[in-house]
Amino acid sequence: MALIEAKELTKQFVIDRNWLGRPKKVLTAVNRVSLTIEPGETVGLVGESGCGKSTFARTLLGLYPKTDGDVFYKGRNIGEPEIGKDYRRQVQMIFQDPYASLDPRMTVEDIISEPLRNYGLCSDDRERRQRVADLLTQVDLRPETAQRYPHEFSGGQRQRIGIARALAVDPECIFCDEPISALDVSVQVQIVNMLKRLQEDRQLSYLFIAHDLSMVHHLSRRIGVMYLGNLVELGPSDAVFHRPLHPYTQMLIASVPRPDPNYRRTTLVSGEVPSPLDVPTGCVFHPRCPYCDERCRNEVPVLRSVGEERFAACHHVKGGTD
Amino acid sequence: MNPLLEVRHLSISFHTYRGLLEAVHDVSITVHPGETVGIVGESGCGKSVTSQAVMKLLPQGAAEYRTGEILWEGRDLLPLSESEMNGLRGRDMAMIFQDPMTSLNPVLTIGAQLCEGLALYQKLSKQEQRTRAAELLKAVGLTSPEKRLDQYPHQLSGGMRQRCLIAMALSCSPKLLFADEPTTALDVTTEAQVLDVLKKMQAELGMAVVLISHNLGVIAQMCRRIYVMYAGTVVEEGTAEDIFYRPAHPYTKGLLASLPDPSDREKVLTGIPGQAPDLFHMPKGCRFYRRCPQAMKACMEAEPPREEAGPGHHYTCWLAAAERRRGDGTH
Ligand SMILES: Nc1ncnc2c1ncn2[C@@H]1O[C@H](COP(=O)(O)OP(=O)(O)OP(=O)(O)O)[C@@H](O)[C@H]1O
Ligand SMILES: Nc1ncnc2c1ncn2[C@@H]1O[C@H](COP(=O)(O)OP(=O)(O)OP(=O)(O)O)[C@@H](O)[C@H]1O
Ligand code: SF4
Ligand SMILES: [Mg+2]
Ligand SMILES: [Mg+2]
Repeated sequence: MALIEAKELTKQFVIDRNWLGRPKKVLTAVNRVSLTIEPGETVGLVGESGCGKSTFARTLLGLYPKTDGDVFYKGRNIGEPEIGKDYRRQVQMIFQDPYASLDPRMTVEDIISEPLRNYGLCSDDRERRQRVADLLTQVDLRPETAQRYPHEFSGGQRQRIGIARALAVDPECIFCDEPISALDVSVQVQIVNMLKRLQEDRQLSYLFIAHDLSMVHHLSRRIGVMYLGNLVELGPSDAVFHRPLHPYTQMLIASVPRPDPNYRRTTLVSGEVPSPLDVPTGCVFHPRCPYCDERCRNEVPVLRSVGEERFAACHHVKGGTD
Repeated sequence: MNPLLEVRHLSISFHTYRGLLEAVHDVSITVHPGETVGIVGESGCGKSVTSQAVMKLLPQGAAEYRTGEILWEGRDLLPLSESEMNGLRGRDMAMIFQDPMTSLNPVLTIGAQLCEGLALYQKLSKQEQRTRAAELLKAVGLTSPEKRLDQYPHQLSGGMRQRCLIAMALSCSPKLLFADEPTTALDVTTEAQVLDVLKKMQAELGMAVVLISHNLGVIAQMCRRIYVMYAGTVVEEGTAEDIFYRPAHPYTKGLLASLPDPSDREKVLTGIPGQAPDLFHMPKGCRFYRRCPQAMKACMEAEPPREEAGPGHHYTCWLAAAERRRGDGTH
């Protein structure tokens, strides 16, 4: 059974209201996205800026109220109060900018033990100190750093503190929203390797959002590709990276700059994401798509099964059932 | 061919409240007409300072040129006055900065900003300026260039703004363009398109480009020759093939070992342990020794020598000397 399942999850933002307070403009940041996360699995989420990755993660976690759809935790709807409570403890989140997400006036110990206190997980100070020391060791920081403040740490170390805090309540899943984007490549590797090790030790699941497609490919078992709020492709990491089916995925993968001076890109890369307030008709990708035809302009393609564990939302992808 | 730009043994320090900080140490870089040279390295290693030093754009008073010379077509730039430099900047060398939003004026239309640049160096009528500006926007791949001329920066996407900056930098057909992380803030798809534009314009104008990036993929795709910087120094230089297929310096090797292998998801990334040194507490010997898997006693004691790994391929490291000593011992 899936650990977490999003079913047709939708999140809209009201951008503008008229003088009666009625919504004038509605921005659909996440449009009926269905996705599962299995126990111990890493699911990567990619797509251009503004395509709804963060909003999806936040809505899935319940940080944003959903507009429509459902979220299931181990098969049960998190709308049920006791399920929701359990879910919110079992799923934690880490962010791109660890500095902004750590309170500068709190010591590392306070930051890490806050969730412990919130969930009443440690009976006394000694036990709490010990837990914090253990957690710091797990993220390769010295336990002595517990009494220091966030500004005394480098970006990579702050990300470690954020991870230690997320681990404090011993969660089953961590949503990682661009956790390495702000870091140097050599430090990125340290964090990625640590995430992998923690996953093995603790059977953790990750929802991993990042701009760097090769790193997402490296870390994830499956990859989901979003475009303008829609999940347009989903499949095993190697398949999506090496044999992308959706024309948008093909363009995205082709764009990745390869560290090989003799690599030559063959796929045409063109166009930009349109405004989310003015979403194209039919297939949202049609204005940029080299295969676009009449049907694409008028009919919305739904995400459908197109092979072993593979899904794509495109009229021109062969295979599977309509 | 005579080099266009020759930076020799350049060292730059900043006066800060914590004392003197040496941001760039003994850096030498050569750029020939028409070639694309890459400077790659992690945050804070001195890439931007080096390029700003060449254009003499560093904050006066705070920055100090400690040693070295900067030869532009054989002429040393360091003694030049500000007005002489102004003549060179824009016309001979131009720069695209890291953050497109801060380098565009938010209250002026794109057209006004482009024409301003054009008017500075060429005698053109208002109408000619506008036509030329539209041509430039078209050349960098902007759709409906006439319309863009009347728009303000905030009305454009990040990719469009970056194209405008390229257009502005190229408006006077410079001989050398410094592009400092020109695509770092952009999505990969936009990045690919902006890099294509840069390549195309370079071929058309025959200008040299110094591309600064921390992204090894971008550097590999664009540059013929590459300088790898670490903690204010150049640790390796060579052709793109040298750097990516035959890296010699342990830092370059570590950088490459930080990149995932698309053909093998299971490959363990060895990366580089630790983090770059604080410039205020620079190690005495090799600046990389605390993170280097091959460090020896010599590395801690003295600055490593510059070694040749092949024609035009150099690196700064004690390993070769140690190798030679070992060789001597056995024979
Ligand atoms: N609180 C909000 N109010 C209104 N609109 C929002 C809000 N948060 C996000 N949006 C909009 O929703 C869309 C999706 O944004 P989101 O931040 O989820 O994208 P993303 O894929 O995470 O992008 P990035 O890669 O830049 O982080 C964007 O158009 C964004 O402007
Ligand atoms: N005006 C200044 N005053 C003091 N220190 C400075 C100044 N400008 C730069 N530095 C320092 O010089 C060093 C090199 O900075 P530089 O901006 O060249 O790095 P970079 O390689 O361009 O890094 P990034 O990839 O982050 O842009 C850094 O340690 C920086 O803090
Ligand atoms: S000089 Fe020594 S420490 Fe520096 S890179 Fe070479 S082997 Fe490593
Ligand atoms: Mg986001
Ligand atoms: Mg810089």
